[in-house]
Amino acid sequence: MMKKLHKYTVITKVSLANALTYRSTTYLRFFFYTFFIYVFMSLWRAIYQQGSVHGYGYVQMVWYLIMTEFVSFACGSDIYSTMNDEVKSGSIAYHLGRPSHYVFYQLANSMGQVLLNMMGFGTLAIVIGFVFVGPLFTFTMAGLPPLILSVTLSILLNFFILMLLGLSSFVIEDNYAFYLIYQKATFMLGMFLPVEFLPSWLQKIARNLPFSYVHWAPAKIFVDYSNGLAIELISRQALCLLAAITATLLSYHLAIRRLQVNGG
Amino acid sequence: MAAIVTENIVKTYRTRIKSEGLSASFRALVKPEWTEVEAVRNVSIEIEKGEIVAFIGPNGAGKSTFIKMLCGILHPTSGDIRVLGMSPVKERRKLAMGIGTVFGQKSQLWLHLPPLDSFTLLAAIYEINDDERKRRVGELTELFGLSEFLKTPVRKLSLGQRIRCEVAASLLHKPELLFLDEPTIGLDVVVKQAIRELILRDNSERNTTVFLTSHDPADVENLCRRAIVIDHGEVVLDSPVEKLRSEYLGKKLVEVSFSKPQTIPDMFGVEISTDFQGLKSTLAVDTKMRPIAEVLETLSTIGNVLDITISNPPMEEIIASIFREQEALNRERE
Repeated sequence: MMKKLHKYTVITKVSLANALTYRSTTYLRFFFYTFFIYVFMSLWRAIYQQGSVHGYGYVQMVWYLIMTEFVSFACGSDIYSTMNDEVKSGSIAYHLGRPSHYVFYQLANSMGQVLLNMMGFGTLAIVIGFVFVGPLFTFTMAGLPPLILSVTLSILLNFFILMLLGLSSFVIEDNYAFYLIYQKATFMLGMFLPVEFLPSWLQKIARNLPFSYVHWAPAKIFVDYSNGLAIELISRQALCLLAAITATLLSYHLAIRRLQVNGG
Repeated sequence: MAAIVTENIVKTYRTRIKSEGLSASFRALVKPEWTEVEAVRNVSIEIEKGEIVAFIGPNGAGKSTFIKMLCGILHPTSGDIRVLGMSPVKERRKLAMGIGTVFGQKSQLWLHLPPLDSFTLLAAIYEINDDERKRRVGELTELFGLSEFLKTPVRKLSLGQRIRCEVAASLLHKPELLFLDEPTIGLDVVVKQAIRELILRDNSERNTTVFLTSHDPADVENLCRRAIVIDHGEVVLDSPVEKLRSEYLGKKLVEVSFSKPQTIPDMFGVEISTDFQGLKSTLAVDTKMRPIAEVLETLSTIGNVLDITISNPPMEEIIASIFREQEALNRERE
């Protein structure tokens, strides 16, 4: 067991070392992250001249945006495209021919980049928030551990859903539509707008789908913290993650039998 | 004891087809057409431990698909496979501990990191402890001459250096069985020879079984004792390389350029084709009938030779002649 755990820890360490070599990409992403926040902050400033919207003040809305972008842009995973590329190029043969579980190998591999981004973008996000709109008074330090847990669950949930979509490349050639639907669903259900902004019928649906728990849950906990809310949303996130992991492992088990690798 | 046993292995897969033209593209949107491809057909082979076997065939013959089934990466449609006494389908991860793979056209090394980091990663994956890893990396560094570029990012290495690292990486966990899928592709003659020597050395020192695919007849001649020829997913020949050498690999191509147009005299066992008004000629020499040294001597006496190269006929040509011969044999039997 320890050997197996050590195996995946080393994968994350090497992946982190690899991520550190992409310096210029990281700086460029820092720039775009700041740019996105600035553009949307300006948009919300114009909207918020009327007062608060659905219980969110202007400062809360900007911090909400900083958090959702942190989860999606900064700590998002490129596992979907990685898997597609590996199947198309045939390099997946190396991963599958090794004594490691492909799903957990990819998870450990992704975590290197995520750890680096969490540190880098986390610092940048705090600086941007303080410079652009000042402190978020609705959040206290007592909410930090649940927030970290919620962000972690978000990153993992996003990873496993993308992995699930990526696994379709084992069976079908063109799976981009699935990714597009997921991307749009997460964008509309929590990333760009809090779920409370949606029509009530859509809110009910959104609260019962996993997409909202990728961005909305940690951002909501962050800007509108209460113990009750944190427990409820984190429980739902954990449930969604459990379902995503189960679906991913089952799909992997089925997809591996039908894998067709290009070039033989 | 057998390292690989396969019985009637079949691999079929569905692939989409589309007729020519825009209207066919629209039709394919509504009603896609599929066809079933038989990549491997009833392949039954047995390979003993310590053997070095060439698995050769033209592009699309089913070589890589077959190797991937032996590694457990692809599942056969039907048939039975035992590799190192295990079923690759049911015990893929356990089997992976005993096998090493090199896919010449793909890389297992991290492009932006030095090979040393990839070795560390692979050692962890194969559950090798730190002391053993250091010892093994030291051994392979010496054997493969890696010390100069062990700390250089892989993207900065030459192809020859990278392939040496790829082979070393596949040997890190001391596999009993090594699958080499075109390991010398794109390499120059000197590096190819170095790679072959390293493979032979590992085979003689550790009795490693080597299963090799290559388009280079020299790989087959210099490395293997047995060759299995596959075409359209079927085994068309399973023979000792010695026999293959005397019957098919004995032909050499000699390309010669002269400073002035020359007429090459007819020689027994030599087919001559001349271009550029006698300035350049290609000679297909059957070395069983005419030693290559005699041909070279004749060429040097008839005029001023500017350039001369000797090469093996392409693998495709060798396979085509094997195929022709097998068909002739079948006709005779009928």
